[in-house]
Amino acid sequence: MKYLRSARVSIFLAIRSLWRGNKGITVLTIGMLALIYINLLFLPSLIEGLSHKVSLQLIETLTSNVILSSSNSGSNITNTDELLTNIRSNTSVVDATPTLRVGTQISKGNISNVWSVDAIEPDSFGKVFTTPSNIIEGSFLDKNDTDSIVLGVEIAGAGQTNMQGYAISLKNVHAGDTVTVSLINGKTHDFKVKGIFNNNFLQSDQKAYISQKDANLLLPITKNHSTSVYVKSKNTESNTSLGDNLVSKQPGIKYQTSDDLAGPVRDQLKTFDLINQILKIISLIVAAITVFIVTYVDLINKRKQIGIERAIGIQSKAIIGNYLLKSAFFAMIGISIGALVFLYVLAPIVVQHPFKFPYGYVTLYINQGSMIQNALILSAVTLLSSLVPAFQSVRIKILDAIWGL
Amino acid sequence: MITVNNLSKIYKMGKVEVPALSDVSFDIEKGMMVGLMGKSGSGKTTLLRQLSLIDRPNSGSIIIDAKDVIDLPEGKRSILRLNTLGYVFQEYALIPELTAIENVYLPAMMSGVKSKKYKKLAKNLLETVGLGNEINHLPKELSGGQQQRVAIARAMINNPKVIFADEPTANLDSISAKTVMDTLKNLNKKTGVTIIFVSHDPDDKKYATQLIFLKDGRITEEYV
Repeated sequence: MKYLRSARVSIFLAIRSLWRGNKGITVLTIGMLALIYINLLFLPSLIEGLSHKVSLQLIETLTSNVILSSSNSGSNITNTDELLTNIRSNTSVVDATPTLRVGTQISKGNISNVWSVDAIEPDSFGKVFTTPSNIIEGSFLDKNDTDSIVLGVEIAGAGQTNMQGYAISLKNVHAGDTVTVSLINGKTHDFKVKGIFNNNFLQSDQKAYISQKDANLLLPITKNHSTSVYVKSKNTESNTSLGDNLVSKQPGIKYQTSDDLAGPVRDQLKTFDLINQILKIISLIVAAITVFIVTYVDLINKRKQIGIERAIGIQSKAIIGNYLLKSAFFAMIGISIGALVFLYVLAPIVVQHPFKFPYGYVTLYINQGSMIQNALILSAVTLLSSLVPAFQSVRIKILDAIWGL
Repeated sequence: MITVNNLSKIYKMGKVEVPALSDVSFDIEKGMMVGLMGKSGSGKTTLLRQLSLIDRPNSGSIIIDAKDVIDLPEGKRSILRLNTLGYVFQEYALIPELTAIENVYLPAMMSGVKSKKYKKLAKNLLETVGLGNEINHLPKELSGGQQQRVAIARAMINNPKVIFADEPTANLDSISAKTVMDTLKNLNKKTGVTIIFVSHDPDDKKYATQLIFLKDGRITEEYV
């Protein structure tokens, strides 16, 4: 009953104070909480967006979700057509595409370097990877192309002197030029550069592709062979589970997931995650200190009033409750405004004007779980920030409170 | 009703100890209107604050209705301040975000009186102190004298046994001051509530039925 009475007085005082109190302080506090919440979301979302972009680039341009290869090291898959039919019959699979390592070195004039050249099925390749849509010069391969090659920008150079690997590239190869490829059978063959792609992803931009038709002509012995089969999943199950399912009926085939092949990218992702965690903690500390200062200053200014309320017999619980309720209101409105601004103003602006990173354009990655978590943490910090000074104010002597000591 | 024995209060100003009350003893009967008189610094406000349980003395005892209230924990003192004692501050001390009637019924709300009842009580009290037309005014819309009368109504809302008034007319013009003192006197006569007020104005002596004069923290004269 006592608690009910205190709650009634708390609610009454809080409503009246919000309704008739200093609107400037209310707006300032809510605005500040909204900004803090946006700050809590913005950088982590950007880093998460970057991390997500890198993962996506990895899967969409280099590894797909699951990669099948022969379990005998150095051997090819020799029944590719049968394997593809089996893979495509799996309902969790979007499509699969085989690749066959056919070349090891590319040269143009005096410049030459070691790059892998893979033979691909252009149609299925385009369903598994986004590389065909990242052409910056010429066009991508067609299934009937012969003597044609597409090069990653890190191989071609394409005159882009500011590019990361320009120094080791062919420097100035463009669509229409001819390059020489050293094939795995020891012979060389000239290919006309049909297109140059730029995935904005170092590892996949160091790839070169010819059509499977070409490979069958140049290396007939490898017909129906593949080095790897890349599988794009519908993401209805985990990559591991899909991999297990795919190899269970295929003796002599092993699988790896995109995570297994992430290599240095995995370290980058871990670094991003770590930076994200550090930023979150720093943002929360800054948020806690800022909220504490604002509510503390507000409460210090209300000490005299608190003293008077205590002098006329208002219970400490009711006084503390009043300030907690106001803080809860400020947190609720501030966080709501912050969330709305973030979701409906900032995120669309960033979609329109994304940040350009070396991995390409990055937008904010909105993680609802993280938004809820940050909202709860900020609410708790806000409540604590008002609880501490309110508690102090009801602990000091009434006269000290009235005199503002 | 109230018995004070050997009450002493020392304030510490840094390392210096300043005695504000020294060995003060007196009795107040129920229904009296007591004036604590004296010059500035005589200890009258300090005495009022000890009696009203806003401050704690260093030694001595205060017995209200046969109960020694000195050593009560803060929670119980707070309940006594709410239900048994009323306090009128020198500077009105109304809550600025509450209207006159809301300021008056706030203590009743805390006491657990039902909503309809406390609103009616507050309205009646405001009419009694002559503010029937200003019940929905905020403190800033009221004059000093009106605010002080709201404070008196607030002090009365829980039907206290004693009302303490700390120089209730100090900040008022003479007409408002007279209205406030008349209001207190009328309440004392009408309801029988004991009123203890502090004043340094010799003219206020006429309102008192008991006078206690203080000087340097000691009682110099006492009249009933």
